[in-house]
Amino acid sequence: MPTTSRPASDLRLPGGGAAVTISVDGSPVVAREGEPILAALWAAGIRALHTTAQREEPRAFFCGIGICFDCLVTIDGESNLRACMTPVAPGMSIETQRDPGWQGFAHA
Amino acid sequence: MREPDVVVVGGGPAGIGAALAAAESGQSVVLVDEHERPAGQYFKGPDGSSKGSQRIQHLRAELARLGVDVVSRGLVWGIFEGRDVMVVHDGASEHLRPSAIVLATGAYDRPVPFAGWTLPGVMTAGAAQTLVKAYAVLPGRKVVLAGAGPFLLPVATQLAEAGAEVMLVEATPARAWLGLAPAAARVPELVREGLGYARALRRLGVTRLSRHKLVRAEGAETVERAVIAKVDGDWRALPGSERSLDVDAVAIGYGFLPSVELAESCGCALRFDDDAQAWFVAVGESMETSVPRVYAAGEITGIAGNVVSFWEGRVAGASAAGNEELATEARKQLGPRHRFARALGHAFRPRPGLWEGTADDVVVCRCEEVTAGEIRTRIAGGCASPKALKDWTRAGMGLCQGRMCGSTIGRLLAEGTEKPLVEVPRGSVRPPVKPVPIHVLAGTEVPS
Ligand SMILES: Cc1cc2nc3c(=O)[nH]c(=O)nc-3n(C[C@H](O)[C@H](O)[C@H](O)COP(=O)(O)OP(=O)(O)OC[C@H]3O[C@@H](n4cnc5c(N)ncnc54)[C@H](O)[C@@H]3O)c2cc1C
Repeated sequence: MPTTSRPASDLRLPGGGAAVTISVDGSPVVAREGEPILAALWAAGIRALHTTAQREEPRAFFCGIGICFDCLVTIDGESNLRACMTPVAPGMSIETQRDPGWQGFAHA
Repeated sequence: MREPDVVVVGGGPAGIGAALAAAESGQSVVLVDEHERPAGQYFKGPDGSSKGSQRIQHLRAELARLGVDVVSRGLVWGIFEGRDVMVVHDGASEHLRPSAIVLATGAYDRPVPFAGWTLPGVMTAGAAQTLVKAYAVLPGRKVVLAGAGPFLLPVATQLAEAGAEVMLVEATPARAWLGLAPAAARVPELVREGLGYARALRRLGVTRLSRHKLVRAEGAETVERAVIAKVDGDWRALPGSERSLDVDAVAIGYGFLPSVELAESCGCALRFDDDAQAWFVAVGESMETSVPRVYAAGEITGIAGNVVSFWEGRVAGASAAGNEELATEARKQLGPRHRFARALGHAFRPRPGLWEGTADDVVVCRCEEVTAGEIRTRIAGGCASPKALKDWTRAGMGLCQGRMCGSTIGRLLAEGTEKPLVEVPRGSVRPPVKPVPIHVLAGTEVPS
């Protein structure tokens, strides 16, 4: 079964907030206000949210609840943010990212 | 700095129960939770007319009525000296010094590495549920949901009801369910819920395979195939029994691991649970931890579901407030439910075939991309602790702070050093327990 050429709205179920447009890698994507960016990107058929630093592998989310840090995207210029924990707002600009590493965060 | 009577960390059923019981006892309460509003994993999702939704709307109204100060989108990143609670909220740090703390930080799906588990479209059962239930987005049209345990039933039902074609692949035999009968007699509401899912799965035409597991996921840019195989009683794949299924999503659920990091960093003693093969926060009758005036409730003290979490929360909140009568009342709700939870935990406990034989080329640490082979080589070379492995391989050093690889690293250490998991040293946990932007920490005076 082809998975990449699926029409964008295929995975959407009824419900959710008002339709708003955000930009993903420079292209407009219709999202629902207040949903996590992850939901908008996944529903739009975008699969590789980021590419890993070493093996250059495509990655999306794994846990969906803020634990795994594998849904990292760049939001309005700030990199390494979790798409699952950041709600959509009108006019937001999202970029899928090539992982820059983890500078900018404090670590245990 | 604010000095409320009680700070509750986590806004799931346990945290809500604790906040309510403390507030009912006349305490001033601050409830901190990472999400947009209190709900936790069981109650997440938009307002609606379902029983669950009605219940959480009622609980939120109760929090408001009793004057609980709810700090949503707040992260507790550290607790110092068992009393100084550090919160990041709206990009700023806040310091709370309560006279008691209730930890109710919940759980997450047990990560189990296998070939292809890093492909987009491969996710935890909890992630699949979150997408469909909380965000109204299908993870895929054709989904293999594989694992073991009761949580698979609601997830399969919710996916199928939303229109996905679901195959449910369970490692346990069908009779695992029958063995629960004795403990189930005293929890009729849970039995009804389980039977309801079983009926729904039949009605929705979900294919159910027992004694099978997912052995790998395949695809180029996203998952395209799930390969499953028959397993023996120890969940070891039987040679020659593999078959490949076309899918556009794969979800795995082998139970939950507790989010004990904050409790551990604050000095609370843990206990090892043999069935779950995991460490939980140790608590006494009143849900107090080994650190005086620090209480714990919900899944971090044992995986037992949302109802038990709520009542444990009430015991903790009432005890923190010194309200013995209310605590005793709440405790009455726990006995049979605890026994049933233990029976479930035993029936669906992970068997050795789940983690044996993780191939050397499988990535274990997803953040730093460290493979099982690299970790095994270091262990053979003398690394005997998570700390040593972190120093030598970077495994566990990424943004998830070891939550995704920690349990597997423990396993590999047990295997390589020929010790039971309970004797393998744990990685050290220090604040911040989740990544916090450096500019937030920069302006913060850490209490000492
Ligand atoms: C993905 C998932 C789906 C689940 N679905 C079901 C289900 O359908 N049915 C069922 O019976 N059980 C389900 N469970 C089990 C479920 O965890 C419990 O039944 C119940 O929700 C546990 O309640 P809790 O209060 O202990 O934890 P949770 O409900 O997990 O709540 C913990 C809360 O604490 C917050 N938190 C954690 N750390 C911090 C911190 N440092 N600072 C601030 N906030 C923090 C979390 O964000 C979360 O909101 C699910 C579990 C998971 C992980």
